Amino acid sequence: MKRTIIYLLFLAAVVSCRGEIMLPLDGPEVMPVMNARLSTADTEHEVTVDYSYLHGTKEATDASVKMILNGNSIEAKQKTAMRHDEYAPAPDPTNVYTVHADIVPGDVVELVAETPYGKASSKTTIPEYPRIQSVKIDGYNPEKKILRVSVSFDDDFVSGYYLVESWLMQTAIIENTGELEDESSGYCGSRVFSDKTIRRNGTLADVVYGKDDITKIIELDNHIIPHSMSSHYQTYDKNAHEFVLEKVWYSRKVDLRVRVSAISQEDYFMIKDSIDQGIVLDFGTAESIRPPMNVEGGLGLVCPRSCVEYSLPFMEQSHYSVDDYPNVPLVWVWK
Amino acid sequence: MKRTGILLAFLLLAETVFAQTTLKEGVQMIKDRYGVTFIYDPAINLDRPYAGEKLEGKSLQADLRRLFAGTDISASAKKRQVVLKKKQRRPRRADTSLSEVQLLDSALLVDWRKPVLSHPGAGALGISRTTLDEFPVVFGEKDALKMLQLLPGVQAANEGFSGLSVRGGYADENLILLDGVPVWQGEHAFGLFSAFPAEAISDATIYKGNYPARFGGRLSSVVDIQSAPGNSDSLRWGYTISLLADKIHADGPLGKRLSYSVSGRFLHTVLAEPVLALLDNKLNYWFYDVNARLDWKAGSEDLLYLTLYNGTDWYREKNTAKKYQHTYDDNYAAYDIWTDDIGYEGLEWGTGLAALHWNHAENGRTALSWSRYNMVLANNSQYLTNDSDIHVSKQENRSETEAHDDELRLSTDWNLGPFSFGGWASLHGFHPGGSFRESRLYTDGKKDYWWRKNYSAPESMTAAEAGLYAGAAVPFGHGFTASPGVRLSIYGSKDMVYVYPEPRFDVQWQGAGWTINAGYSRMTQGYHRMQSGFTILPLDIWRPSGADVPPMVGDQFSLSGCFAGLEGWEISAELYYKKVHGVTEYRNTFPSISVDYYDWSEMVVSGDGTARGAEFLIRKTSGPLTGWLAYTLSKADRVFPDINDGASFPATVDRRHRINFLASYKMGQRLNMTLSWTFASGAPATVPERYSTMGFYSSSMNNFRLPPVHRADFNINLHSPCRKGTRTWTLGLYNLYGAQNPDAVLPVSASANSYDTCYHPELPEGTPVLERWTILTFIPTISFSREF
Repeated sequence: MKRTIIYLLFLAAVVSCRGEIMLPLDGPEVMPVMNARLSTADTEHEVTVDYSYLHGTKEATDASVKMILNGNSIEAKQKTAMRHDEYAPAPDPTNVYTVHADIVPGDVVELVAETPYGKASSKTTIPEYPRIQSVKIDGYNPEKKILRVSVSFDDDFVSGYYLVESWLMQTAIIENTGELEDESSGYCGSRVFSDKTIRRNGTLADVVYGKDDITKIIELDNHIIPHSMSSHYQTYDKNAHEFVLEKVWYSRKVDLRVRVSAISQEDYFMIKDSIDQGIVLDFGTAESIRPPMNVEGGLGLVCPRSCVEYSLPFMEQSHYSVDDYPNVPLVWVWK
Repeated sequence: MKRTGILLAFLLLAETVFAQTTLKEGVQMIKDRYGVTFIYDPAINLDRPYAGEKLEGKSLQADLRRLFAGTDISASAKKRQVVLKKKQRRPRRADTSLSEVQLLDSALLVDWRKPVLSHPGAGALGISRTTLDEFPVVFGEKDALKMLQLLPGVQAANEGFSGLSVRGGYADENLILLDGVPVWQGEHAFGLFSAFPAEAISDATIYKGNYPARFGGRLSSVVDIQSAPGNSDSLRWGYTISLLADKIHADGPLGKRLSYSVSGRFLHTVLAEPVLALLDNKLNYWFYDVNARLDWKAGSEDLLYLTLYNGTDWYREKNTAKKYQHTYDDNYAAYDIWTDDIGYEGLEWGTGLAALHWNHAENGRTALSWSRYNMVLANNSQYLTNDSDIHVSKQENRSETEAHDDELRLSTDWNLGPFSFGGWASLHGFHPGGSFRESRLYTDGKKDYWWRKNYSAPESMTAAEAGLYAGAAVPFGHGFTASPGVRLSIYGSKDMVYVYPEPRFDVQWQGAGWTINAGYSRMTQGYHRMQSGFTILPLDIWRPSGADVPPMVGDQFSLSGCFAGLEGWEISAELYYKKVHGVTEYRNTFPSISVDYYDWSEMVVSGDGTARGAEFLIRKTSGPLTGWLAYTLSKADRVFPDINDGASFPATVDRRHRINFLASYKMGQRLNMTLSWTFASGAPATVPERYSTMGFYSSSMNNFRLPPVHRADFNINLHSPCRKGTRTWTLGLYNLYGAQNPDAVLPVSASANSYDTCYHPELPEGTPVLERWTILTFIPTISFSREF
């Protein structure tokens, strides 16, 4: 008897129970969801439309989307899925709708999506361009492959939220013929910051505060990933019964493209959460996060951006060959 | 001339000898002179004659010593109360504590031997060590903070855990003081246990409203915990062995003027860790804490004592997942891939505190203290892939982050008759640590690449706090007392200094067994603790106010009435209305501890809150059966311009109804039983209503009410004397009838797969459902204590 009591007490001590609480899901069965990012750097703007159900989402391929730009209505075209070849069946419509429009800061843009389940709309104003004084390359560490760029703002810097993105654009030209041999780009990364904070990526990034403690100069570090360039040609000489390596001389040019965008507060927090920012913790116990939404009649987020872009020459090389890049793949050419 | 001299001598002699003819008159003189109240057993006879020297009025202690010298009565003064006891040869631990504090009126006597709730004043309630010993708690760990949750107006911030919510305030709005020193992180085991074992404390008082001017720094409450001093007569020690933790305590004299008290506690799991690690056990948790106190009676009116606390928690978890996949390569040859995902997570956190106190003649108290909180989170994982033994790759990932906070503080408090005044200053450093992530990939035993990303330690934050206060208790009219006070609080950080005057005012009327109080208090709070989950976590960070996040300010009005004219009973009711400004909430983003002030100030938004309620309490204070029944009706809302579209929503701590019942029955000196029952309306929670393209979606904050929570707890203490000391068996059961309360809730999706835990074939797959976890059910308590 004593043993049984002790066993039951021990069992009771480790019992925990799991159950479920059913939720009163009494909202509309279906709601339209509209998401879009409107950038002054684009002439074609994509709007995605989905349907929100109580148990999931589904792409909305039966919507009608238009953009009202400063009072002028522009119909959006629906994108279709890519066809792989001419024999493939007719491409399916997608839930992506494109609008051709040039937008500039100050424009009032309204997106409207009409669906069988209601109308979703969002009105926004394109923000002012970031007031940049200069963008320049400050230093390059070839060993660590880190390129430092500094972005200086004007004295009448407007407080707000900003996104800085950078790419490396590489072109290779055959010197003999002037032909463009290869063109590629590599994304170096992005950072978001506000006038109060600077997003550090863990390497070297300093902020110099100007008057009124507002950020004036951002120094960003871009990791440069070496790009394999072009190919070296080998020709099979029938007479010699061997492959002969043809020496080709290239001129390689690398430019750094820097885009600084003024973004909305919602866009800032969405990007901030998605960028690697150290150890983000929720420990599995956090309450549900309510993502920001600014669509009426439905759900979703429409984010405006105004961008300025700079191209900075970074590197120019010529006469490189297989000796410099032995790992570049060989292409066999039969002649 | 001669006659005059004889007459004067006679008068002088008469005055000296007959100044106070009985002890009772001497007591009355002391009461009038110092404004204190006396508490004593009715069995003590004060009508006996007093033939000692005149009470000269040098100090309270001196007059008490003189009045009761040579009698079998001892007098001990604490704050504004004096307790008289019959002297005993071997004082027991419970007897050295201040068992009961008189309810309201000095004319009302209370039997101090019975465990009773104390009532230091309107808006304040206290518990004694005796009551704490008898109260049933989870895992057998007597917990002062958990016991305070049974009082009206006080509830658990989360059911089963020790965080407090007082009158609609959040867990960070309570100032926990240990001998007047703030304790910033006072929890173990994610809030299941508080940092204050019963053996180390003598009493705890919570101030919910009508705050004395000396208290401030938090919006909702001040919990004043006094540590137990060492016994100055003889060595006492004891130990407790229970199902989960072991404790040891010792206190005694060190010579004539020194005494010490040391208490230690640790979980059994720390002893099992070497074995569990060898067996590759997946999960373990343990903690230890040590409380110590050293008292030195520097003089007849001066006491110096050192308080020390150190506690550390560890948590480790291992997760494994194996997968198998049969696939084909580009040549359509079949091969198999096995993957092993092994993850290790470890969390270590702890608090250290040291404080030096100087008490002067029961009138003054000065303290210099230092405290530190430290936290480290580490995560290692291994990902092994084996594709048909052709290639074996191993990826190892590591990450680690840490943070620590320090505070240095000096405070002083003085009482001079009806006046009280003092000041404080503190310097607090918040140090969010750096972190790193590292990844290494090995293919076929050879290192392919290694990558490490260091996240620089964000800028540390330093904040300073200082202030002065003054208060008074002024009697007027028939039975009226006015208690005006003012407190000036100054908060400073690197970019802002805030100065707040905090007026306090209370009017009390006493008569015919009644006490009526009306009062107003303003409180401010310069620090914010951001809670990221459903319970208090060591990852919840404290941050100082600054230019972007101002201090919180709260105004509270209260009206209370208490009737204690019926012998052995007390009935009280209190109404309150509270308005707070500058409360903070996380914006819609995941919290991170490794952020500086600017990042943190962007993550939070400031808003306002309102709380109002009515509290009712009926107590039985005498006889073998004692206890109380408390009912609270309350409502608490919050509103933030930047979240929830600016609409008001119920505060997370909003519980419409709350009932607390506690009954303690004593059968002689050997057996006492305690039964408690609590009920609380459901808590609000933010739950998903549908899906959006960004995951679960909720249209508003706290849009759902969880089911009500209720539970009953039972405890029996069996005392038996031994040759040396006593032994006590404690048996109890927490959550007696296994109420399925939602200790934790998580949103999940309904599944059509019968193997999944959330299997609901009647619902469309993916429908949001709330998963409820009840952790604390049928928790037995068995412990054995021995006291020498």
